[in-house]
Amino acid sequence: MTADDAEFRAEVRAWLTEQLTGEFADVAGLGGEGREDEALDRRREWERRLGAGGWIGLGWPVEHGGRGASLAQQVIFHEEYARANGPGRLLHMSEQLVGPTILAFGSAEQKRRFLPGITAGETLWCQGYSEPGAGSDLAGVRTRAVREGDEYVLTGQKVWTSLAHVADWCFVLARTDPASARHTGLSYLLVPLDQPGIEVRPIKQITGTSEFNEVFFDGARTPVANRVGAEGDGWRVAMGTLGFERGVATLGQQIGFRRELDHVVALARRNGAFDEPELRDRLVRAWIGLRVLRYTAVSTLRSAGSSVSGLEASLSKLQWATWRRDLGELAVDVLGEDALTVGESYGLSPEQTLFLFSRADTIYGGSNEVQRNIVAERLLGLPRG
Amino acid sequence: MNEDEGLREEMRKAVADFLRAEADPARRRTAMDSDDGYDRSLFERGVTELGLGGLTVPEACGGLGLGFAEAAVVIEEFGRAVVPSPVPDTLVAATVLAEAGEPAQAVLRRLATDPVAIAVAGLAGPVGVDGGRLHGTARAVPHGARADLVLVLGEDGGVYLVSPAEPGVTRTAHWALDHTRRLADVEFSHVPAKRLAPGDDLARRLVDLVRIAIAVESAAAASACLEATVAYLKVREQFGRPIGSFQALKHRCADLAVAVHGALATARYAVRCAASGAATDSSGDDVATVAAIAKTVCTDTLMSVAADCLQLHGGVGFTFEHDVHLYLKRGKANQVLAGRNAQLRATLAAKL
Ligand SMILES: Cc1cc2nc3c(=O)[nH]c(=O)nc-3n(C[C@H](O)[C@H](O)[C@H](O)COP(=O)(O)OP(=O)(O)OC[C@H]3O[C@@H](n4cnc5c(N)ncnc54)[C@H](O)[C@@H]3O)c2cc1C
Repeated sequence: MTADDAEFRAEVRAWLTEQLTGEFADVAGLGGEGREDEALDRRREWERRLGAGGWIGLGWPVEHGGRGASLAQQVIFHEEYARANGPGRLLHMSEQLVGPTILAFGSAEQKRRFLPGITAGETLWCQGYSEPGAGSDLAGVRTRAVREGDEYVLTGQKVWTSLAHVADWCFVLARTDPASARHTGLSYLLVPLDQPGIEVRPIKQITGTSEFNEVFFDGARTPVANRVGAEGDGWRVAMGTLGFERGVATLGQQIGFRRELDHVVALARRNGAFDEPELRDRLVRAWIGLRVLRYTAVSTLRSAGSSVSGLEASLSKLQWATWRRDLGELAVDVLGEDALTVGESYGLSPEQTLFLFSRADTIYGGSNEVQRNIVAERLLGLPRG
Repeated sequence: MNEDEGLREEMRKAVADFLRAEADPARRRTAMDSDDGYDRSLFERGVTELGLGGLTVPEACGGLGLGFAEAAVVIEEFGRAVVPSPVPDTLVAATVLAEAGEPAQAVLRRLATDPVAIAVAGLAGPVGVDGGRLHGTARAVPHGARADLVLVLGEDGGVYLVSPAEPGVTRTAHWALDHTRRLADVEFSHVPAKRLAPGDDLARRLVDLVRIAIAVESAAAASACLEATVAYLKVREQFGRPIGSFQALKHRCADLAVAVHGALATARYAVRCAASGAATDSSGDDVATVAAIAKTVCTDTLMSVAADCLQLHGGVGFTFEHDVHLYLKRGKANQVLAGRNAQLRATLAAKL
């Protein structure tokens, strides 16, 4: 680590500590996975505070509100954020998905118009890709956008849209050429959610809470100027986003994993589970597994320069999602009978939430099976099935 | 098929038809969210129309005089549909009570005619006994808060039958991780109780039958969960073909099918051992050993089948509306209830 990095870490740590033990002490640790509905208003204020502090879009160019920070510094920020027990980020899709997409593919006007809202911690974006008929096979998208003058009119349905019920905008993959099939004829559209013609219906998840939604478009409109990239070029733009999704945050994320593991180990020591050979063995395996995640991330970053390849991202997603799913099961096994009862109205403990929510880690953002196909084809060069 | 098997198949069909009509997904969901945590009218009709309460009650006491093998068929069908119901525990309790003979006569007569739900308490740790009185708390008692009677394992190796209306019994209901099976803590403060038999044979029988019942319902649940998933993989299309045609998923399902096949065989074997009355089987294992094997194998199978089936459903598998999470949660609960699997395996180590 360079002296600059050490200084940067100290700056991040001081700022986060001040905020999260001071004015924002009430939001520390809130809103993690499976608890996305906690303290929404305060967490939106928190995003604004992060924006005001200049912590959103760290790696973005200075002229677009970023700091041009190196990959190492971005990792440091994520690490410190997790260490400080920062609340679950509401703007992660804004900052890590749509923002980078606009930076890479957007027009000068789109950058001026949309990026400041993100770096200020204001605009909450959600991702409108999946549809009932298009999950793993995203090219099956059927939502249509028909041009009327200088607007697109959208008809169709998205599903599993995380945070759509609280989001301001949605980036939508839609079919602009009705005669097209598969990867062609799609466009990447930025659509305001607060308008007639859009209905958002929350879907209850196995955790009993609702983080994702169905989104129905029936005559919803967005200006043609809100299309990112050329008409019909949406697939390429969207794939760019997926690359970002499988990107940088992993090392910081591991601090959170470490906290989860430490918590499970502490429980095991307290209730005697640590003395049961089978559980102790699994705890040690989890600990080793997390080390391996770390070594892998470190070596990826050493060779990556400023961005992480899609293949590396697939390897990493498979690795951490599987690790975390296993930790979720271990957490409830350590608790034994104590894990079998829940609070009023299906109130889950953190261990129970981990157990249930980690089931989604292996599904969203490209399922384990889809990642394995990528690894098999791109790393191993096996023929496509 | 011999006569007994013919009868069991008829019973299986009757129970399956009954549950298809009376415990469809919507009604199961109403039941699991209700105050009781199960559908009391379903329970009552099961008793009056199908004779489930008196199934294992001797004919002399007005019952059908059938055995655990027949009870297990009912438990399988309740397990397949993850029906929230005290029926499985009641059937186990009734079987044990029938074996207790004379001291249980009165309750057996009641079971033959009235809907009486019995919970089994003390499997997460037996309850203290002092001078003929129970004291202490039985934890994680399935459907314990709404049962009409509680069959209690005492730490002296005795089995006790207690009415929760008795002074000194306090029940605390809990919402459960497994929506389909409410749990309760049942606290006894110096409650006088009748010991059903001298010695500890009855207690051991109770533990074995509870474990086998859990194995039976878990294997059946795993089988149903896999069937539903396979049906989905045949109709869900991605990349222009049914996802079940991808070898990655095919092989997963094939592995799961092997596990389910083994679990069903194991559960049914355990039932036959328990019903046969023989002290040991041809491997020299006693019923306790076979019960522990079956409990670990079948509950682990349900857990891994349900986990994979959730994954194979993608996004819909993560929704509350879909049933697959009910199987997952039942699987986790069954791994833990009535002796955690890791502990059972540690005990089985002595057999090596
Ligand atoms: C908690 C959560 C949040 C989500 N948030 C969002 C969001 O904000 N925005 C959004 O657009 N989407 C979101 N998703 C959707 C997610 O991306 C999809 O669920 C995922 O892509 C899988 O698609 P599907 O659900 O249609 O499952 P399917 O594609 O039907 O997959 C079913 C099963 O088949 C397997 N499978 C499919 N194709 C193959 C193949 N070729 N080879 C082998 N196996 C295969 C899958 O791995 C899976 O096991 C979210 C999902 C979850 C669970």
